[in-house]
Amino acid sequence: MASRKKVLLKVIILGDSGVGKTSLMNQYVNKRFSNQYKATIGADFLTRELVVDDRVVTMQLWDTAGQERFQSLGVAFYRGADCCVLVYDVNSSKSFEALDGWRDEFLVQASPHDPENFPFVVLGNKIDMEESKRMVSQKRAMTWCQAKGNIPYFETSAKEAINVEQAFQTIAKNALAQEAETELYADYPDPIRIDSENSQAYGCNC
Amino acid sequence: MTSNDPTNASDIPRRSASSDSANSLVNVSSRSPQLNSPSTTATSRLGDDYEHISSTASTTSSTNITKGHGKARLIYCKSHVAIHPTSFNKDNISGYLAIVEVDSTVPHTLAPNVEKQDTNGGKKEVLVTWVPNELLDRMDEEDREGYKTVESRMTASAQGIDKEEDGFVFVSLPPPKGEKYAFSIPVTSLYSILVYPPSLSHWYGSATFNLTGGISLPTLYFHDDESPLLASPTIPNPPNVPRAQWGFPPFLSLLQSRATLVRSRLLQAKRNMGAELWLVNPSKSDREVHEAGLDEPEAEIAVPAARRPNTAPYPPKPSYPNTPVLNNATPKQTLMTSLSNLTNLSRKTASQILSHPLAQPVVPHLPPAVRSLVHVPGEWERSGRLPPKTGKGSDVATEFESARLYLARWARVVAEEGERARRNEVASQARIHRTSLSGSPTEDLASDLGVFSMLPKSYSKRPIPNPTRTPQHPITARDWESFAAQGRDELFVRREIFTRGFSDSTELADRQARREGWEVLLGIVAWSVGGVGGGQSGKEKRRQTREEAREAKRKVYAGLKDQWKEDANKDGGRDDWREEWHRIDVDCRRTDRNQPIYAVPTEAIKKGDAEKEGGGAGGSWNGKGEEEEGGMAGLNTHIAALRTILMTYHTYSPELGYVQGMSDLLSPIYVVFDANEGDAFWGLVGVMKMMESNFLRDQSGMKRKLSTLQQLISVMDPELYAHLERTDSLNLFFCFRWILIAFKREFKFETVVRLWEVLWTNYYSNQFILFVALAVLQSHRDVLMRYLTEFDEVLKYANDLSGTIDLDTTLAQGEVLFLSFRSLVEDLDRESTADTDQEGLRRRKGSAIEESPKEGAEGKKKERKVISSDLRDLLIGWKA
Repeated sequence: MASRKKVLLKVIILGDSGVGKTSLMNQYVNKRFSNQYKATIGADFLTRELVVDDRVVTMQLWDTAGQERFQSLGVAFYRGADCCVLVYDVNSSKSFEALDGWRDEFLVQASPHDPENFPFVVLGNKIDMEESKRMVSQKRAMTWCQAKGNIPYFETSAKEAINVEQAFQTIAKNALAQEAETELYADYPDPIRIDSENSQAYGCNC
Repeated sequence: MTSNDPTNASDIPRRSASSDSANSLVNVSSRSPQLNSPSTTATSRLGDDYEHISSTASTTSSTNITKGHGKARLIYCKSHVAIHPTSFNKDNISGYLAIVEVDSTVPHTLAPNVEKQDTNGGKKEVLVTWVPNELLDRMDEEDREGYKTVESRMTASAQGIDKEEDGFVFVSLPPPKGEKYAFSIPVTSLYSILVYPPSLSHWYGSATFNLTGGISLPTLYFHDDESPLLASPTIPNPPNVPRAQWGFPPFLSLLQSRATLVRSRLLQAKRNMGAELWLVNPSKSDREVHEAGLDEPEAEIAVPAARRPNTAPYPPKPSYPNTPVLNNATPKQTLMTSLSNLTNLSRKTASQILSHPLAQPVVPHLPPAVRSLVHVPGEWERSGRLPPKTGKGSDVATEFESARLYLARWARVVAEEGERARRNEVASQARIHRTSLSGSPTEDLASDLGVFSMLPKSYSKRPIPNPTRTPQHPITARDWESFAAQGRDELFVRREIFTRGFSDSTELADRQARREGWEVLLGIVAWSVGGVGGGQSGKEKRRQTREEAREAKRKVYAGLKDQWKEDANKDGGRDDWREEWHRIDVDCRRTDRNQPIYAVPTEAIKKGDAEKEGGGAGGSWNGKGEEEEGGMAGLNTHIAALRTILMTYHTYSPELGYVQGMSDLLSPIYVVFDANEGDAFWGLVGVMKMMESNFLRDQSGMKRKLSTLQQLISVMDPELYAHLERTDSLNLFFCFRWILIAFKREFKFETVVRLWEVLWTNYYSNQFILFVALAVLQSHRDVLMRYLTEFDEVLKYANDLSGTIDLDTTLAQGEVLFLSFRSLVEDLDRESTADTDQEGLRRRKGSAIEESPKEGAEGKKKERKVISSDLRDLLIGWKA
């Protein structure tokens, strides 16, 4: 499976407003952090090329507005997604509790082919802040992820670039698996197994 | 989309010699309308129209008319004329350009331009057609031979070899609506032809046919170097004739024998890569405009010299005289028209250069110097795509949509550069004129509209309305005071603000003028406050009454604020408020942080300090640690004030609440209102009165606005509409941000202030913003249509326009679009009351009608076009 035709992976980033979706995306793509990002209005995306299992893939990361009110517009953007990234702020319980809603909303609106096995990845962001501020423990987050079908979980800091690269590498892998899965229906040879990553993905180096 | 046009539909199946293929083509196109190009659609619409008129013009004999007239006399044809549907070479579709003549017994009520009366008493209809080779291959052997015979005759005569005429050649009439872009249109429907001869930058010469309905057919490219015209071994090349000859002039001279052609003087060939604009059977008024002070009428039948040196038997007459276009006596109208043409062309040119097959592999390998041309600030950052690496570049160029985006941006930048240069040139010309003519106001106006680049496409035929804005003369404090002193009414004031805007001067008095203007526009202080009348006393009285009105409002605000603060501190506050507070806090900390007033010096970020002087919700929420930072920017007095205002608004308007985007709207208001919290609050209330529907929970307001914009595009620019449909972009989500926060993110802070005061006058329309959006889209339509083929590309391109839009040009375009739209509606209304017996061929083809598009697709005949109520509402503006 060396150099086959290039692949475009569509990844949707969801989560409450202010949890750092735009920052994570920019840290991953542009390798920088700024506190000048404005609240996202409408939608935008960034792309980055990377190599997954010796294949060059282009990942298209979609950033959307965080306020629920704007989610009815999501349909247009969710379609054809290969992976969904759920982001919360470890210092805000509310943003964590909202994950259920974001996940359901996505499944309803994107209506993926196989919702049971659709790849999600959860990111707990802003771990650079003082420990005393932390509202959601790693254990709590991991329990939730396990219950939702072993969703890979990463704790990240977009500001300090902690774990961002690793998280998106996993996102790309899972998205590629999903993409291959989808193409299987179109007689795609050589699919990649979907569950090969899950066990290691919990690794969080913080 | 277009098929819901009630005027074009006919239930009567076309019956002709080629009826089989015609019918199957109809079926193909109706089954998969999304595969149609805008031009195919345009063609089919035209065909329908033609058919429809035939059948209504004499319903009794309609079957006779359409039967047995399938053969057409082929007068002219030329192979290797291609359509380039995409910028890729491989997609080019090669075919034959032809002129045919058919007998027509249809009474020519359908042709407003008088058709030539043939000697045999019958009337001849002359059609210009283009048939792709693929379609020709499926036609009869006889037809194919016919085309070849005629072309070789043409070739021979072009070589000066007199071949014996062996009679007329008849071929099947190509279907009026064809697949693969084929078209066949009566000459009477042609409005103009835009021609680019081949040049170093235009590998192939091209011709674009514009129809009277405002539609442009797909551009035809003359692949002359592949043409048998000179390459044919059977015909010896005469000495001194280069191998390839520019193929358009023969076509032109033949067409000239069948129609009146007038070359527009507005287009200066020298400056536009030799471009020529030919009007077909022009109306008197068009002639006047396009001939622009020309007094040698015989020149109208002159045919331009072939572009290549030493070529050709063409033209029959000597070359066209050179007279300057920007002539002193030129009326304003003409100047405007010429400017628009000029700038239009520069955009087209840029995108044509980029679409040149040779350019494509080169683009990713551009040297850094050239690449820097593309480097609009923030470009790479936003796109997340670094300049393509060498070696991998060519892959990128062919495989991914980002390559198209890249080209699109480059085309945009090149076009903008070109326009800037052109504007400077035009401005300096105007200056010369001013000095020599002791300055006439019209030139003053025109010089500022140098980049007036795009006119409503469907309006190419009618006189272009003049924009009235004169932003170069903004309202100063003195002007402002004089309005009141002279006892002007509010409508006058609003018009002044619309046309001029307020001065950006930093003088306190001028800033106050803007502030007072905004208070009027936002309904905080009535215009009539303090009465009118001159003199120092009048002025003083107004100042005092105004201040009293402000004070009263401020008191109310203070009460509202105290109320929720009290509630919040009672028992920890309501949970929903706490959530809202958090949301507001997060957003205010990231609103316009690049503005000095909202900047926080790094050492002052120590929270608490700023918090204390914040004057906001002191100690935030009941002393609870709500002021988390985690990468969030710090707080200062003004950010805290924004937060408090928005929280107060949240409680003041509980059904709506705080919605993302409101902080963007508030921030400039707060600045213009001198950082006065209470005044800014009422400013927000005023702006929300106008924009509330944008923020509704169910988003119904935004959906409606986008839908209205969609309809507006379909009326004003059907081609663009068709393109958006093809790219799955008809939901117009890429305009979402523009509309939601009134272009706040698209312009610089100081510029958005100038835009908003214009919008808020509601002078022409309460929804003038949609015309601004349309103006932006239209000025990028060539790039959009040429390069962008997917929804995500369109969205990215639109997002990346941020910071690149020229406000005054866009507003001028928006005004022209509004005026054109208004006159369109007036025309339609007039028509609907007019006599129904005579259907005019040149009726406008607005397609945004009440009926759902699906209904019309079956080809039902509708009695009347009706402008939808959403569109009609666009005509509602401010009323006293």
